Amino acid sequence: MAVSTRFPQGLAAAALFCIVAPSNLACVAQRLALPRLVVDRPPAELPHVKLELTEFRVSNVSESDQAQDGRRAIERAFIGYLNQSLHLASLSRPIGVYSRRDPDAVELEVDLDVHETANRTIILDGIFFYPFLGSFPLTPLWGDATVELVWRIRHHGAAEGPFKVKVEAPYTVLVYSYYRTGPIEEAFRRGHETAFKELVDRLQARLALAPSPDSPAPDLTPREIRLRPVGVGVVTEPFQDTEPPGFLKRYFGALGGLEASLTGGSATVESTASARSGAGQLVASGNARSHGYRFSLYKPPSESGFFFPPALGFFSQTIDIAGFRQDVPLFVPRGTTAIPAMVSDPTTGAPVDLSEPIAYRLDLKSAYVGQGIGLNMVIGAQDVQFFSTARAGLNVAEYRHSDVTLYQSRVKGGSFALFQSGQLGAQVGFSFPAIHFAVRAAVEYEWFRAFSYPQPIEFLAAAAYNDEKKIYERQRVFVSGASLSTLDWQLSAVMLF
Amino acid sequence: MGQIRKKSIAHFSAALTSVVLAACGSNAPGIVPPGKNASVVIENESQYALRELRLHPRPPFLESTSVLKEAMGIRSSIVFYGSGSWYVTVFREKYKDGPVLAFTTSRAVVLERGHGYRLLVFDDSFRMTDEARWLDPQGAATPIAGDPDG
Repeated sequence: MAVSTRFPQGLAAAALFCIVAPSNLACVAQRLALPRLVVDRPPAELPHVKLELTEFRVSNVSESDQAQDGRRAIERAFIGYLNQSLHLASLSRPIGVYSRRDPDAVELEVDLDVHETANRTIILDGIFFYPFLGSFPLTPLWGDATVELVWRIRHHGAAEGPFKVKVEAPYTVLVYSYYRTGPIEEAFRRGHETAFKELVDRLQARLALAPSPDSPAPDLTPREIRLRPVGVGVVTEPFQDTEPPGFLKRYFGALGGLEASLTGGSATVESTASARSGAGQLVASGNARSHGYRFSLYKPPSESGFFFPPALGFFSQTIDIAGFRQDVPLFVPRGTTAIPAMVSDPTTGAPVDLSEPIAYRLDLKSAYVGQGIGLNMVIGAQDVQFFSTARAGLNVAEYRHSDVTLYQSRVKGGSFALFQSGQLGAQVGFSFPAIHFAVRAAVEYEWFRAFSYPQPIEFLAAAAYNDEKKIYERQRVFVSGASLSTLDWQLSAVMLF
Repeated sequence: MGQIRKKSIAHFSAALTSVVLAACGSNAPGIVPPGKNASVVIENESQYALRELRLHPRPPFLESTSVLKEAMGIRSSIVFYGSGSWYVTVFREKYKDGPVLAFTTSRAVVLERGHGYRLLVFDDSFRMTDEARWLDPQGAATPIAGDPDG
């Protein structure tokens, strides 16, 4: 009841529609998209051949194909293409067992199978669905539309085949993929065009020969064809060069290119301790910043997909860690006299700032091995590509060395750590292979949990009232380690080899 | 039975004697020798061991010497006898293995003859109370500094 009074029924219905709509509106693509078959040459002259298409079976059709009677349409398209491509004595399509059959005809039996693969990004789809509105445009859907043709021929009882051709046509739906099927159907259309052409070409080659066992057989081995992507799409395999590689590409192509970067970063170290109150509190922290530039080799990602890089590295950071300033209230119990203290140097008597935080210099090093996982997303065409990468790594084992400079002394020590650190990284950029140029921006976060000190070091907790002494004081706390994190960024320009 | 009664009388006598002696040693108000220096029980209530304790009539503390023979631990105390105005300075580390700093009362502590005081040393302040009784140096269990008879 409470819901109905605060949430009008109209709004409830609208919300329900928004929840259900995106999933229901996801349209189903036609897999039997009719090919635009254009015969760009005179039909092959085979006046002595009578051809009978005895079977044309289609499997894996979609609901949309069934609704639009796609089977008949694709069969008619196939027969039409046969008619345009081959000048035969006759071409017939006997239906049923009572059809009149010509014993001299070559029988052709065709099986057409259509299917597709589909890939999505979880993150962008999550944004699309949240908050159940289905309005976020960038929801890439990509995969391959596959058309597989298997055919057999029989003449005077002698059977040949099956012969097979498989055509994969990549497709990408970049925006509003839950509502659009056009690019998928276009990929199937291209697949059918290529498969039909391939079948007819090979059939023509076979029929041009006298169908006898003694004749040399044309190449009828199974064939798999992968079509090039058309337009802007998700790149799932590297583009092949259309021209022979130049000198630089030939000898240095594997290295990617020469990268010039502006770099910057910050490191943060923090120590927490349990004070008398029992709660853990931040008692010391430090921050170090850096910036500069760097030249290195870099290769932009050339295809979308997951990758699993090993995490192997060495880390070194010098950073100061310090407590914090705090004014401590002076409590005066009844019947007593409080006397503040003047703080000075015992050798000179010069005043000293007591509230200056306790500080140490830390030199922290780590050599680690681990495992990472990354995901590249490359979208574009052969000349221009947008790329992005998300990467995470977990350091399985590491050896840590810490060097702490105290007031007038240093302590050092090393230790092994398991599963105590990791990295997160991301980059976005544009690559222009045609002009051998790329730009990118990258950020990397690295985190080390509980970097142990060689010995506990002292800080002061936040001021708290000590009921036993009847005074406010900052409790001395000794911490045995610190967490360390770094955040680095870079902006780069790359000259691709 | 006779032996038991004799023992009880002996125990009662010993207890009575000790009570009387204890009363004399603690010197209740009104029976304090007026010419004696004031007693100050200085207690270390800070979180640090005190390396030095200096009492000096005028700042600075540089020309004075420590009254401690060894570092004064946390919660330990010492009795000082004196009169007039005194500054109190303690030396301690700022933190473990850190620099040593001097903490001096921002004003003089005034001690009246024949009185007893209590001075608490905290991390960065002092607290004075005059509720303590004058301590007879003979009965004091803590180290003694200054001149009880001055």
